[in-house]
Amino acid sequence: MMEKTENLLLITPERCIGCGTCELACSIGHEGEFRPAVSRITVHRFEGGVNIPMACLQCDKPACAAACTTGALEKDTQTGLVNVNPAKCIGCRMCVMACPFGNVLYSMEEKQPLKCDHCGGAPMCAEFCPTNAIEYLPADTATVQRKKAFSAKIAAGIAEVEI
Amino acid sequence: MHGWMGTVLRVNLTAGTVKKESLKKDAAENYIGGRGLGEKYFMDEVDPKVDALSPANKLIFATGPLTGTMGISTGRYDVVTKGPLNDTLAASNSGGYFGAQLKYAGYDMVILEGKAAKPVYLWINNDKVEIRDASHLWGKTVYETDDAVKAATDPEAEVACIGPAGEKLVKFACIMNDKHRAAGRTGVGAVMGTKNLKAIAVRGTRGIRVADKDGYLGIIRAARKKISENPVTSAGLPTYGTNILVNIINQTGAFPTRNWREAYTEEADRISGETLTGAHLLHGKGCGSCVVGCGRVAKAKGKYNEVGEGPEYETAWAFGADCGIFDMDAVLKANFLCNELGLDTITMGSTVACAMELYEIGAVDQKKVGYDLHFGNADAMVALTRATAYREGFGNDLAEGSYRLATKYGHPELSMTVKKQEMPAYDPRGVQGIGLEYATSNRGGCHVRGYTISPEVLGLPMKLDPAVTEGKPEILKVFQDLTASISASGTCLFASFAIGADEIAAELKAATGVDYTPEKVMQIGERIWNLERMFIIKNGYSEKDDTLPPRLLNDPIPAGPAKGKVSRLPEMLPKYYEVRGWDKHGVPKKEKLTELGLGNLAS
Amino acid sequence: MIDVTIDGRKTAVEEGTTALEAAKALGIEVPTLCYHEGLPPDGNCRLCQVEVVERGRKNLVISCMYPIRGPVEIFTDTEDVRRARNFVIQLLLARSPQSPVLQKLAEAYGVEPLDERFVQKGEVDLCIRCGRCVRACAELGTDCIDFVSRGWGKEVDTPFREPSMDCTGCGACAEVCPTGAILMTEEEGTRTIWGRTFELVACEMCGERFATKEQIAAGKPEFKLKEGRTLCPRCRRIAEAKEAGTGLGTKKKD
Repeated sequence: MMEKTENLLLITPERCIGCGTCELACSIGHEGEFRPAVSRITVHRFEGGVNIPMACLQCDKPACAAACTTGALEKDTQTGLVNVNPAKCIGCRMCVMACPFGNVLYSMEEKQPLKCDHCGGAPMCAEFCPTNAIEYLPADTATVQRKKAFSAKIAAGIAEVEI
Repeated sequence: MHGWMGTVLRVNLTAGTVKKESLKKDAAENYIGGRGLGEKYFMDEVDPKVDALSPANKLIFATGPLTGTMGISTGRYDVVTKGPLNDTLAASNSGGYFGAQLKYAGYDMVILEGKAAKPVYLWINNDKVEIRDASHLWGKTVYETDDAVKAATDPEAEVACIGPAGEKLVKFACIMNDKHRAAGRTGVGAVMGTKNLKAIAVRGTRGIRVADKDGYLGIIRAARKKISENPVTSAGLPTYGTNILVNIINQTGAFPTRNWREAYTEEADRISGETLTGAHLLHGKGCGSCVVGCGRVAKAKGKYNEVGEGPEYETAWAFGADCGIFDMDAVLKANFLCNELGLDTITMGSTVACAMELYEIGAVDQKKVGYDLHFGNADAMVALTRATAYREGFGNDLAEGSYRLATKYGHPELSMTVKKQEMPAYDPRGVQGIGLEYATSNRGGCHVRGYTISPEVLGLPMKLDPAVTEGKPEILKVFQDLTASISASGTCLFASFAIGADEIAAELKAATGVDYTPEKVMQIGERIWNLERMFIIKNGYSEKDDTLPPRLLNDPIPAGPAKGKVSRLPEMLPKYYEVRGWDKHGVPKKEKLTELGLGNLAS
Repeated sequence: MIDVTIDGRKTAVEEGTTALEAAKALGIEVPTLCYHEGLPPDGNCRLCQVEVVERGRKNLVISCMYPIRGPVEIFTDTEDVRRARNFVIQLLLARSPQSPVLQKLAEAYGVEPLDERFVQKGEVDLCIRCGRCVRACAELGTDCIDFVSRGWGKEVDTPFREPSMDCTGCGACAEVCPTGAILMTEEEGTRTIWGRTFELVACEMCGERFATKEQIAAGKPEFKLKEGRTLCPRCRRIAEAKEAGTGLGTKKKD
């Protein structure tokens, strides 16, 4: 299904300097304030200069959507995105429990799951990333391969989820 | 409030009480935040004559209104206190992620008072603030403490702590946050140590609102363009870190070598940024909101075989050329030890260099030191760095800094300090303006109060002749004032290679909603500068302390591009006082203080 | 497609679209309490009434339950509609005068304060018997709450009013409740709802007590975490990031 995606968010952790700008860009875009706690992307910093930005991988077979009984989370096969319809969410938080990567948050304040939505086609994290560790690129074969390579490392051992 | 969180956390360690206060709005507008606002509070609350290591001293962690936002490299905060090294007002700036996290927890500043009866750490979890027992952490290194506190609080908490050096009240102990970032200078770590405060952990889930979101993003977009078009911020610093300066400053002939006896060395490249990047660098790193990424994750190879962060240029210089050591692995190891044990690298390296000269002239001997301390002995340098943190053997003397060390052994002239604090890595004999900066810096020998190296060597924003004294007092005042405001805002000084008062004012206005203009920003910088000056005068410093070590005023540089030159500080100082609106003794005139709204401080 | 006019605006909808959906699609606000987009409509609260004119006949209908079958004209804010909603709110207020949600509606529809004689005395009851919680629980397949008793005594509860063993403690019922009538409390590692106290499971990394055992077990089996680890979502992310980072940052070997 990935081939149908127009653009995808490509993360290249080797380039990440851990500045957390993506979290700030995401939260100002979605929530109107600088608030990493509700950012849909999080950068994790480890020893030795290893920094890994994590955001929804828009799985081909998403665990979150499978766990959702009301259709509030659905895979859009046209755009490749796993979309949230907050009006349909009943707050059971099964999506949060289901995502093996911890990439879905639930906001008690807004009564809806928070996850990456590519900012509707112009992701702010990619715009403001100072080192191009996060890019929004056309889903040509090379880009898809790079994304698969990144995802494969994360998914090692969770074979049932197709990213 | 916008930009500011509007709340100050006041913790009395003696009484074990925690209090939340509203941020003083007028003070915030007039001093912005960080170094400025922290010092305003400090000046209002603490007697300038206070003993730095007494419970009456206070320790303030202060963020700026831009800290934690997506502004241009706005991840900084300041630690404000009276420093035990320089015996006066200290504002030590640090990056990493700690400052931003304080904002997300809801606080602009944390003010620590008194002294805990036994070791404690502070756990700030949004609204919930606890003073917790830290007996089990006492004696632990910075890395161990950071890990242990995170494990006991929250994996995503940010931790600022002291290492053994702070506990042992080493006069130049620093406060480390996020393991590898330091509020390095003036000995703020010893103040924390004397309060029995081992660490502060903070976790916040709130947001920072800005007054004009779209305006703010627009300013950021435009300013980022400038950053990406500037060779220093877009290529030099990200590729080589600040250590790119080794070869540049050496080729200027202003690279202090062997305790400033020389100012040029053929061996410089062995400790340069190019060498670091080529053979040791693992990864670049940025503090919160950084658009540059000058941080270095590097590996010390050979017998050290260790990964850590650093070195900055001044660190490579202090442990390297200043000690006559041109071994990058030893430099890295000493740097990592300072991070792990909580020591300021500049003062540590310079103090070893001073000890080496004392050794070479016979003022201390091998029996006293425990090592053959000739210039160039890397093993002795590394061993003494560790011994200093624990105050073991001769390390106990080094722990007092080079001023007290050299005085103790009868040669105060060999301490390369101003107001008891060691000068960094740029020889004023080869670069005249920086000498005036060292002499007048309000916290003693320091390059980050008015970095004239930028115009005098790097040619930013315009090229000035380093050998000339004319015009330097004027340009230094501009640099000092602007720097004060930049730090107060929460912005990294390195942003100012590419952006200036226009962008800082625009960011502050959009973030806070207060009508900041470039002129206002410069005036606030001047206000901060004069407040600091009045503090240091009230605590006993005077014009006679606005000077440089005699070596720099009298002994010409022996070799290299700046051969034969001395610092012509006396040519610049009177003019500087005049430009500042101070009398001929360097005391701010009443009119100047009144103009800045500091009339109450006039003596 | 069927031509429909709503408050004078023309639109076309598929057969079977409810009047409420058609109005919402045009961005026209119709007040609702029991309606929830993620759940089948039940028409319980009767607040969403609108006026439908079909073949010249004017009717008040429950818009969430009114499927459009032929060309109609709909009015969402007429005098009759407002009067009907005013009455509904008055009745709801009789049981739950303390409800901020109802008070706000009362203000919007100019509902006069109730005659003292009709005001519910005694215990605060915020439940308006709309059944959103019942439908949410059914949707999740747990089905452990329903209406019990009839008339004034009708209320939502668990079978035999005893703690339900089917309940997972997910709290969806409380989340969807329009008036905040369902209380879910968490303290010292436990969560209490519908009279049952759940032990919360601790994340093995950070120790946060993040979910009930039943919630974790309800996760689709094929998505269970590897090696049977029990991690809160946040630590799961940290662990996965760590995994992705293996091998990075070690390029400089001696």
